[in-house]
Amino acid sequence: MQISRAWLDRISAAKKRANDEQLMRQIKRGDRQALGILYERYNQRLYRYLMRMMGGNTEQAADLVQDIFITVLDNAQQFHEDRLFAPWFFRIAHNRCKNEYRFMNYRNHATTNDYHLSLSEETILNHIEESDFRKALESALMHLSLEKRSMFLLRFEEHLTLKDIAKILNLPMGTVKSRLHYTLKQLRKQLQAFNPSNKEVNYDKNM
Amino acid sequence: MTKTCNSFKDLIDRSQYEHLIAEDASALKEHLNVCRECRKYQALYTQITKAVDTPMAMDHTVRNRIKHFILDHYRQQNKPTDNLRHKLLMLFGRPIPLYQSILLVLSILIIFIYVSRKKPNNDHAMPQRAEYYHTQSLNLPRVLTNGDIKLMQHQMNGINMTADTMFSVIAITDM
Repeated sequence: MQISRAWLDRISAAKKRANDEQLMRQIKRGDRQALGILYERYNQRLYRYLMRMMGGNTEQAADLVQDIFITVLDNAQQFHEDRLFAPWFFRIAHNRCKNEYRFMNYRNHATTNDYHLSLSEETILNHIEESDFRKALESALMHLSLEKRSMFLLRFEEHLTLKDIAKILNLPMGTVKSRLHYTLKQLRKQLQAFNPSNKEVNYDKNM
Repeated sequence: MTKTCNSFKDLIDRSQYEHLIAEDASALKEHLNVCRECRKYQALYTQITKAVDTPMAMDHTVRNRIKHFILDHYRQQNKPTDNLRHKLLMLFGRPIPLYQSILLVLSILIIFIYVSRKKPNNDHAMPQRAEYYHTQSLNLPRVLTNGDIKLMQHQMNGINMTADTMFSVIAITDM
């Protein structure tokens, strides 16, 4: 009994050390524990991404987390083990967001295009405190198109490479670079009020 | 050639999503030491990336509910006891196309049956010699019993003949 418990613990520890692609291989073979580990690894990341994509709607984000994991399971056999899991996973998430937006547009006649506007004076004043910077940023993100928002979050929140982002969004690398550049400019313009002009700042030494 | 603040700002933008070449990176670093304006420009990016990188925790109960739902879905999808596909997967370690496999096995079986039927008879107990005996035996005078003769008489519809006549008919027919 002791030996078998120790053996199971060793297997469990090995699974926790396994990379995402190895876990997917085990999931394809019917390993439930591997699915649990993968879920623990990705649920918070996915939730954060979806929260920002969906403008902070917690219920919608949680529902989408569930839907996306189900989609991953249903399509697990299509995952090629020689590819990276994260881009494949976030591609599913991105496409799901796109569908959700289409559905929302259909219902609310809302638009997902860029507004090309700065935040209103009132919004800026409301968020003028540094502690509110995050809220202002999230508000600014919601003014971006779905694709640019996704691109920005995948780069700065998920720290994916440009190559992976290009795969997820099905765009050439050059296009990703230029759009990311434009997005940063746009965000900078919208968050100009937060530029710490009155304070002496230290430059980012880790750059 | 000395770079202007605008070109350094461009470098700051680019450094947010791609690695700068060593020469540009060191030039930017030196410039940031002396230019307050560019430091401010970079600071906003630092603020943005820091703000985006903050964790957003899902409610613990919601997280567990979703986990159980997903695991249940997975269990239903895989039902290891009655799912042949799963058994094949466990056996071969890779997904096996079930219907194609069944078709392949059936085709092999049909071909095997066809080939084994066409195969010449190799049974030495019944050689060609046996056929020879059989042919020879046709030419030998056959001994007919009374029962045989009665049957033959019955088969010759309406022709009433005696056993002697019948023998002579048989003798003529055989010759």
